[in-house]
Amino acid sequence: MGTMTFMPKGADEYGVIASKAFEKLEPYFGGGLSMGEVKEVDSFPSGPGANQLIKGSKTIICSIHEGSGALLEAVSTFAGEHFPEITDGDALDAAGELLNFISGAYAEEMSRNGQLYELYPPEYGKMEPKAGVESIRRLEFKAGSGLMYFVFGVLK
Amino acid sequence: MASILIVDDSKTSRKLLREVLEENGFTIAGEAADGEEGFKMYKELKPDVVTMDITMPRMDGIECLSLIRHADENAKVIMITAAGQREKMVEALKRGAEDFLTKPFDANRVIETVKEVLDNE
Repeated sequence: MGTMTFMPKGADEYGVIASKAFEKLEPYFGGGLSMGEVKEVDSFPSGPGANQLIKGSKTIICSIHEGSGALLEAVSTFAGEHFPEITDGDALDAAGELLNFISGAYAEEMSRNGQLYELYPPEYGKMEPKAGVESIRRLEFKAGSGLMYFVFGVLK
Repeated sequence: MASILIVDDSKTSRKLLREVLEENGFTIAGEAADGEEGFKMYKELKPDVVTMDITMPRMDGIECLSLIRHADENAKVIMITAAGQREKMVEALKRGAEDFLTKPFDANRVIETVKEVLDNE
């Protein structure tokens, strides 16, 4: 894991922009946010988490899921509130808002490149895209002690 | 100190905004989770400023803004948007929104914007 100034190895256009988007979230984690590599993966993760659709010149699905039970810790830190479990409604709301913040910062970065994107409200559960996905990338990050994934897929 | 009504469907977002505002001496008049509730609470509470999320269930922030401004042409409403909702921001400004804030919230920008809107008599 690197620091927030680290540009993830193997990052493509989306990974680079997503990594910039994460920088804006650092104040919410008291400097406890760090990022790893961007990797190409075959599918969206299962398990508790939040998903969001971003539509513009391309349609992108973003998803935040836990890799090792870390999402609960991260959303608790983000919201400044202890949640009993990640399936708790308020914890999922915090996960959705965390994703909304990442996607919002992402869309802002894209708008600087002249590309306008509209964000749709976060949804919860496993992401199952109805349309075909061109590629799926997974950005590893830590917000506390455990590993989590920010996954983004570009639809065909 | 000025009173503020927060309208946002996300409890987390309301909490983050409430903490920033309260830490800087503002009073939270109330919190609403959608546009319908927001309009109802506005009429009851008459806050000095409303922070209004755009994307909400049942009644979105643009429609709620229109109702509030129709009922009170002096209402001061600050729209809350995720970045990338430029067209909706423009629409809100046309309908009488005073200003807008984007998520993720920057605490200094939140306070500056609320103070500027309060000063715009």
